[in-house]
Amino acid sequence: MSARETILARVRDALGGTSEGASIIAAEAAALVAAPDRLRPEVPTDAVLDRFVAKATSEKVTATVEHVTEAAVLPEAVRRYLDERQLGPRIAAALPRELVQLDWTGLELADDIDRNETVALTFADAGIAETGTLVFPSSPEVPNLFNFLSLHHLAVVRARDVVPHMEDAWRRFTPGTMPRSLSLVTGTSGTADIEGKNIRGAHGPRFLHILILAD
Amino acid sequence: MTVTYTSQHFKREAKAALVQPNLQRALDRTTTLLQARRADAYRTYPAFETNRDAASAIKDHVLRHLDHYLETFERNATDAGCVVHWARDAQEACRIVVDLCRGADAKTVTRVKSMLGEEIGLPEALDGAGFDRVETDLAEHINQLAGDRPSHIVIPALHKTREEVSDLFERHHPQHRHIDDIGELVESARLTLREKYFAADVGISGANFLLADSGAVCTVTNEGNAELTMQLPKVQIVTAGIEKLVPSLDHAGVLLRLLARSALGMELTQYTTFLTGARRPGDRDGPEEMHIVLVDAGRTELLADELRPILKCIRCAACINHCPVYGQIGGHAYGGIYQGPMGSVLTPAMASLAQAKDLPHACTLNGRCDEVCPVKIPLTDLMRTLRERTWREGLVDSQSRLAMRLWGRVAAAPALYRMATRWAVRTLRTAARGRGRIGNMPLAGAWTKGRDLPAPEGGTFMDRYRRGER
Amino acid sequence: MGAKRDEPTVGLLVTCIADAMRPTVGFATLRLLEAAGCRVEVPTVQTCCGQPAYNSGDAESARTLAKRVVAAFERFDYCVAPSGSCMGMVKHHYAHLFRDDPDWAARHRAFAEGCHELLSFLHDVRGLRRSSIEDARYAGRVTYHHSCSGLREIGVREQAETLLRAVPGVDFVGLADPEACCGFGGTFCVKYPEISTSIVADKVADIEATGADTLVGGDLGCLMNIAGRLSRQGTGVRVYHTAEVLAGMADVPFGSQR
Repeated sequence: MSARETILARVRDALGGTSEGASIIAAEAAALVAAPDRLRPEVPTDAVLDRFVAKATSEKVTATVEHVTEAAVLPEAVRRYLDERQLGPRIAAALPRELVQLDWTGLELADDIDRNETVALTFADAGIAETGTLVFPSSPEVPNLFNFLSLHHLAVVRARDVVPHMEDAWRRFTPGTMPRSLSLVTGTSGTADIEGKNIRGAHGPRFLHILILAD
Repeated sequence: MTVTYTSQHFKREAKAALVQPNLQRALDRTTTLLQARRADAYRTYPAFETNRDAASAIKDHVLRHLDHYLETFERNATDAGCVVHWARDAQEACRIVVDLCRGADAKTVTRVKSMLGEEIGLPEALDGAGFDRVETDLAEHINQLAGDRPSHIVIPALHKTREEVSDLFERHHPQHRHIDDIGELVESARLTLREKYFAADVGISGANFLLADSGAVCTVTNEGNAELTMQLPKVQIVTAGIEKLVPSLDHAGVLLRLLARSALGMELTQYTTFLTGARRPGDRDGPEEMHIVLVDAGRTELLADELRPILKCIRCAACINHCPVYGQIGGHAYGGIYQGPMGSVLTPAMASLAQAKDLPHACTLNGRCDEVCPVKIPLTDLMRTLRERTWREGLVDSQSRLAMRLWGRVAAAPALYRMATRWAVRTLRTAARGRGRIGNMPLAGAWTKGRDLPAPEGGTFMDRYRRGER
Repeated sequence: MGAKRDEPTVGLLVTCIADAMRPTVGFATLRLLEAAGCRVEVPTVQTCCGQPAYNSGDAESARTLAKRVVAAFERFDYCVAPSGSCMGMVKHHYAHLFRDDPDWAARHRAFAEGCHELLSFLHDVRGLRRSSIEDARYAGRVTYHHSCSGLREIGVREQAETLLRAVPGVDFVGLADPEACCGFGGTFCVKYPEISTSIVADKVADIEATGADTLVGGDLGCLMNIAGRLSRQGTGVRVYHTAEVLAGMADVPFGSQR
């Protein structure tokens, strides 16, 4: 017998042999998550963006947040962040086409990322207010590594894409349409491995700056 | 490769741990902090209890239909471009992984901390096969340099103080100067490991959850080392216990809301990633191959056993962080891969009850572990079940056995029991010599070594009551 | 157990440790229950609830004793003990021992409904918010140790504090970590004396940090352990069972001789 058959046989033995049909199991599974509001922190619908900002900038998440009134002034906000920290002009950028087309004068937007890249600029598919989380699905346009490698991570998220809960953020990904990689990023690369003390910049970003783009 | 368990030395090692100043300092610095953080997360999340019920029900549901979920996951992961392997035991799992690494012509292999990997002896197997194994989790990196086993499933180098870590880095990191600042230590590891991520031919991780409906693998880390380990090399291997299944993303969400809160008092880990298959047409990064090894290694035996609930464990370590015994002796004394309450249930199953017979007894049955477990595993009940087995299988020492039997007989005969109690009270009163307490007494040394024994008040209640005292 | 009357009958489970080590706890319990309007009886066939055997894995001995307890106490409206630990055993763990014996399981189910730990009985069942003894007094700064089984198996949480605070003269102060185990753990404390001592030393440090001159608790096992360590460290902190303080019978603390 193959390992597969052996293990499945052992499982069935252990369970006593009576197996229910897939549709009964599916109904049982669905019932377990049928009332999500009982299970998650409440996020008032009129305070979604406020909650997102409060969580993202909280002591535990440690991101910084900046509101950008329109796409046209996004490059200016990025330049300011870099100037204040004497960074740039090169940044590794993975942005949707409409943002690449903005006027990035004075900056070098690279579409590759160096192993010791200092700054990366990426675009989040969604923000989750519940936890101050950004959602990054991989795609041919948005290589995944850009979110995890640089010391400074600048991330653009549209205000209208900030949703109350994680379920709202991944609702559009069905079993057949899961991206190759779907990452929920809540703050920066951190560790508490030495004496439980939180330190940022363990492997990837030490700084996360979120640029919330108004609708 | 099989892991060598040393749980038979528990008593000796626990005693030794109590007088290791560095370990004691490290435990004091960490466990109280983790308890406070979890308490804080609990207070600020009103749905915590309701969610524990839901999480427990999800885990029970999956275990009840495990065959269905395994087959569903296999089908969907394969459709997504993964290769799914099955391993009956630790040796088979290691052989599959080593063969995949050889097939990839690998020299450097990076690993993300995975307790299953530790359990099946994967680090030893990779070393034995001659690969340059690189642990990327900071704590596992420290343990690799020190040649230590994990002493905690979430913070595997909890036993090390910052001073000890600095000594290690000074010896092993080319650029490190001796500095005790924790931030500097982390930076030193960052620089060293960064090179390794890019040199790696194969990346290996475990899985926190396997999503049946999409074939996705979920990993959670705070360091973000899983993302670098699993994105950069051309071959990616996931080893996962068969109990890691959940039906869907939404079910994973229920468990995610509890995992980081229970472990570290955080609402969510910094990085939660779902990987579904290998690089797709047009992708500019990601591995060319993704392999998933589904490992039994004793799990189906637990599924058939009264101990089944331990398979619900999501490895958050809340039970460990709140265990008063762990808080005194740390993790290494347990002599296995898992520690504290969950370890005391799992290790007898992984090694043997004979070898790990002391573990289920090394517990005050205070029940704080039951109270903090996010999936409501009745840990103290499982501990009692194992105690019953040690008794039945003759693994309890003959002296305790005889004493307990004798006491049982006497307690079942009230007249005899009254006589025995009267005698005991008189003996203890004599030993107290009018001082109200006993500082040292033959046969009671286990008690009196570290504390006095308050003397009995005098007379028994039953005698005094019968004489009309009220 | 039958319908509850105005003056319910209570079978007092003295507990083996109170019987031998601290009879005053038994008498204090008796006084409190009678003053709370109960008709109390003390079945003379009682010995021990069987917990030491159960927790050592000797289910057979434990079952023998469990049957004796159920048989001796099931005729009362209630069975009450001045211990969360013994009551946790009687009320909850007996069910496990009888799981393969439907007759005894059914007898136990009916019996378990009337099983209560003393403080939760006075507070939750009898509705008391102060001691049933009118002239109970205690002068001292008092802190309280939750026994783990009282806390987690029985649900004794605020009851003890509420009742203690109502005793004239009591200046109540809480522990920093009131839910931490004291390291007693029944046979654990003699199987692993060094670990147990190390845990109770932490508890003593917590007690000392409150500045309390008195420690009160609801379980004699924990109290023997903590009192023994307090006196070994020469702290001078007095130790009493909660029942003794509530009954106005806190005269001679643990470790002193009458």
